[in-house]
Amino acid sequence: MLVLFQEARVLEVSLFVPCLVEDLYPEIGEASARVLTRAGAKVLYPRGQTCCGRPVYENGHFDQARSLARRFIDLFENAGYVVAPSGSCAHMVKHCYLELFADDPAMLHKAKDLSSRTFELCDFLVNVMKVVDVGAYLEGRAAYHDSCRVGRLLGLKKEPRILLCGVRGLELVELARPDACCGFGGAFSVRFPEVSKTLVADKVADVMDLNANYVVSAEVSCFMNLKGYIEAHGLPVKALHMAQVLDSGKGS
Amino acid sequence: METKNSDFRTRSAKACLDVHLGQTLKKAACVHKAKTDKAFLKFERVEEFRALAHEVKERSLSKLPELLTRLEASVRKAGGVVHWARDASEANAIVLGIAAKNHVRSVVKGKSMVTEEIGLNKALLDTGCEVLETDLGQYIVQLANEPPSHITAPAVHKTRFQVADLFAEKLNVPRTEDIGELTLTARAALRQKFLCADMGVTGANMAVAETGSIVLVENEGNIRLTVTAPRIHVAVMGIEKVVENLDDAAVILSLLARTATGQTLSSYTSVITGPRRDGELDGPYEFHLILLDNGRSAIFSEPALREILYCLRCGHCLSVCPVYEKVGGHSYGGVYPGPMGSVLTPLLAPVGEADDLPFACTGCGACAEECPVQINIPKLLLALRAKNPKGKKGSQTFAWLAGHPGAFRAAASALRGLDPKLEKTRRAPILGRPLRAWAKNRSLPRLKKPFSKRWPNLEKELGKLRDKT
Amino acid sequence: MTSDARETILSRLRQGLKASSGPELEPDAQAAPSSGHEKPRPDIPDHDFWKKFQEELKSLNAQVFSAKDLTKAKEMLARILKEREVKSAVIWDHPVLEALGAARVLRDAGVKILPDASSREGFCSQAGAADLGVTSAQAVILESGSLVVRAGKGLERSTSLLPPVHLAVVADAKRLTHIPNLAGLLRTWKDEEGRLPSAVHVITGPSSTADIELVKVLGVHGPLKLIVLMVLEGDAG
Repeated sequence: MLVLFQEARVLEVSLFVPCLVEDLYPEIGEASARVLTRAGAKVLYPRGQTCCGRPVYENGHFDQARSLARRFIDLFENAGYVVAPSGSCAHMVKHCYLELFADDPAMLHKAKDLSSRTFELCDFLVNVMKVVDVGAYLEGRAAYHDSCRVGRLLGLKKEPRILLCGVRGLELVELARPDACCGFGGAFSVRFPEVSKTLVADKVADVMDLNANYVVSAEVSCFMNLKGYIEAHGLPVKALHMAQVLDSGKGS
Repeated sequence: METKNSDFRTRSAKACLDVHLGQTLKKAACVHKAKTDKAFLKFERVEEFRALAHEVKERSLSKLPELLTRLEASVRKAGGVVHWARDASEANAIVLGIAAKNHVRSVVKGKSMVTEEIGLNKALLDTGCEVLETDLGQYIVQLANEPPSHITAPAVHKTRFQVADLFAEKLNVPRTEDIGELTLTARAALRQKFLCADMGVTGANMAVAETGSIVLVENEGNIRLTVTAPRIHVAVMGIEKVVENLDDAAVILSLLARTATGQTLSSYTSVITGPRRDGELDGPYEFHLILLDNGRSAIFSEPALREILYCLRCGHCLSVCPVYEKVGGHSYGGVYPGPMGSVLTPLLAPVGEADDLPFACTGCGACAEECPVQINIPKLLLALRAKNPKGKKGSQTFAWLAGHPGAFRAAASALRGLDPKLEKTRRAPILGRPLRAWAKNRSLPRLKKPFSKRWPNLEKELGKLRDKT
Repeated sequence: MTSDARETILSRLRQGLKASSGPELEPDAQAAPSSGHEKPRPDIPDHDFWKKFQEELKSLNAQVFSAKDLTKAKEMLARILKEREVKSAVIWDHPVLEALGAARVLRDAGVKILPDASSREGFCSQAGAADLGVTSAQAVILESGSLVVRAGKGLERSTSLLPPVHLAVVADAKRLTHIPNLAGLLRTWKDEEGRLPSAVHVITGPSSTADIELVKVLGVHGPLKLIVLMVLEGDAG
C-alpha cells in the first residue's frame, strides 16, 4: 500500500460542527476530529456553534439566514482553518454567505475571508494538508455517493475517492449513477416524501446491485437519508459517513 | 394556461407509482445524456459559447424595449404585420381576428409552448375552426386529449401500444404497433391537412431585430410545411425572445440543438423574413408576428427573477433533473414542466396558484450546471421561495434559537431527556408533520449526547493521539 | 389596432429597466465584438473541407455522391433517377442546375417535371405529388454537415420539403466552417432594400422524429431521403 505523506504540517484547525452532527450524529464530529488529528492537525473547537443557516436560507428566508451568518462569521473570525464534515455546510459558508452579503461591503469582506479558510473535510485533507492516507482500515466493498453539494456544488469528486482508496482493506466500487441525487434536498424530503423515497430507493438499489457492504457519503444529510432508508427496510448494507470510514480500524 | 393549483404533491406521488412512466422517463434521460455528452465532446468551445449565449440574452434584455421596436420596423419592412398582446385573451383575439378576416376554416400548427400557454387551440376550436397539431408527439397528445408532458418530446409518456390503439380508434386505420408504420400513418394523415389548411400557426424560437426574421427549429419538417403551404402564417412569440442581430442568433443556434437533442443542428433551422416575395410560388401571402407579454414584463421588472427570461425552451434541464425524471411533466400542472417550469409557471400563473412548485426541487444544481444560457435556476427558485410566507414563522423560531445557543442547547437537552427517539414528538403539532413524513420510509435518528458535551473527553483523547503520531 | 397594448407593454418594460440596478444591466451595452469565432477559416484546403463535409453528411444518414466534373455528375444523376425509379420531379430554376443540364437529364430519363401547366392546383400540391425534389445548395456548413437553401423566384421552398426524396446539387456553394459563420452569409443575401430572403432553410439530414418511445424514424413530414450530389471541379468553392 502506498502511504503518501507528501507534506504533513501541524496546522490548527477549528472544527465546524453542523447542527445535525451536534445532536444526532455526534460520532461523526468525533471521527472527524480524530482523523484530522491523525493527519497531523491540532483540532480546536470554538464553543457556541449552532447552525450555519442553511435550512432557513433554503427556504428563501434571507434575513434569518443573514443573522445566523453574522453570528457564525463572528464565531470563527479569529479561527484559522475551519473544517466541516459536511458539503452543504461548507458550501453555505464558502459560497452562499458571499451572496447573502453581496450588498454589504463590510460583511462581504469578512465573509470572503472566512470563505477562503473554510473547507469540507475531504477537500481539506487532500488539497490543504496533502494527506491521502490517514491510516484507516476497513474491510469490505464501498460504493461512494457523490452528494450534490459535495461533488457538483463544491467540485469535490476525486478527493473522497482518493481518500477511500487509501483505506486498507476497502474495495471502492463505482455506482452506475454515482451523482444521482439521493432525494434528501432539505425540506424536500418531508414536503414531497413520495418522490424523495423513490429517489433514495433508487440510489440504494444501485448500491445493492454492486453487492456493496457500505455506501459512503461526505455529506451528513445524505448519510442520514441513506441510513434512515436502509435501516427502515432492514437492508444488508451500511451507510457510513466519510469521517467514520477514515476513522475506522484505529480503536474507534 | 391551465394551472389551477399545481398540487405537485398529489400528482408527483401518483406519478411515482406509475412503473411504466418511471421506466420511460429513465430511458429518456439516459438516451438524452448519451446524445448530449457525445455532442459536447465534439464541441470543444462549449463553455465559451455558454458564456456568450448568456451574454446575448443579458444584453438583449437590457435593451428589450428598443429591440422590440426595431424588430417591429424590420418585420414591417419585410412585408409582415406586427401585433402586440398584453395577455392571453388579447393574443387569442388577434389570431381569431386574422382568421375571421381571411375566412379561415382550418389551421395547422407547429409545436409551440406559447400557444399552449395562451390556450389558443381552444379559442380557435370554439369558433368552429379546425385546429391540427402537426408535430408527431403533439399530434398524438392532441388525439388523446392530453396535455404534452415534455417540452421537446410531448408524447414521451406514451408507449407504441398506446399510440397504436389511439391511431386505430381515431384515424380509422388498421392497427399496427410498428413505430415506422405509425409514423407514416401520421405523415399521410397530416400531409393532406397541410395542403388544405388556410392558416399556419407557429411559435418562434427567436426573432432578430436586425432583419425582422424569426428563427424556427425542428426535426420533422412540420413547421416548414406550416409556413410554406397555407396562405397565412401567424407566429406567436414571447417578448423576451428577441435578439439584436444575426450573430447573436447564430450563437444561440450553436447551442440549442446540442442541448435539446444532442444534434449539432436540428434537421431544419429556418430563418423566415416576412411573407413570400413577388414571383415566389410558395410561402404565405401574409406574415403576422404577435408579440406576447402575458406576465413577462412583470418578471422582467424583478431583477432577481429576470434571468428566467433567458430560457431557450430546449428542455435540457428537464432531462437532467432527478425530480422530473421520477415524476414527469404532468406533475407540474402547467405548460412548462421541470426546473424551468418550476420558476416560470408560478410567475405566469395567477398569484398563489403553483406556489408549491418552487419547493419541488432538491437543490442538486444539475440544471444550473447544464443550462446552455447559464440560468441559475436554483437561485431563482430560492428567490421565489422568499416570496412565499409559508414557513416564515418556523424559520424565525429556528433562527432565534440558533442565535441563542443557551436556549438552543436547553431545548435540545429537554427533547433528548423527554423523547430521544422522537416518538412523542411525531404526534406533536407543527414538528410532528415533517417527522411523520420522514418516518413513512425511513427510521428517525436518535438524539444523542451532543458533541459539545463530548468535547472535554474528546479533547483529551486527541491530545494523546497527537503525542502518539 | 394593438397600439394600446404596444404602448402598455413598452412602458412596462421601460419602467422595469429603470427599477433595476446592478452591473448586469447597461442599456448602452454594445453588441459583443465578433471575437473571431464566426470568421470562416480559410486555411482548410478544399480537398479536406469536402472530405470532412462528406463524412458529416454520411453521419446524418444522407446519401452522398461526388463527381469530379459536370459530365460525371450528369451520369450520376441519371443513375440515381433510374435506381430510384423516379417518375416525376420538381426542380429549381438555378444556374447550378442549368449548368448541369439537370432538367434535360430528367426529361431524358422519362421523368415528368412538375408543376404541370394544365393543373390548377397550387405549387405545393404539385410538389407533394412529385417523387423527387431537385435543388442546389447555395452554401454548406462543415461543423454540422448542413446545406443552406434560400427561397426566391424559381427557388421554391416546397421542392426541398414535400417530395419524399430531396436531391441537392452542391457546386459553387459558399463554404462555411462553423455555425456562427451563418450571420455573415445571410447578410450577403440582403436585397437592395436590406431584406433577407423570405425563407432560408438550413438543412441538416433528412426529416426525422423520435416522438414515439424515443425510436428514431426518418421522413415524418419532410423528405425521408436526402441525397447530395457534389460536383468538385478544380475550384469547388
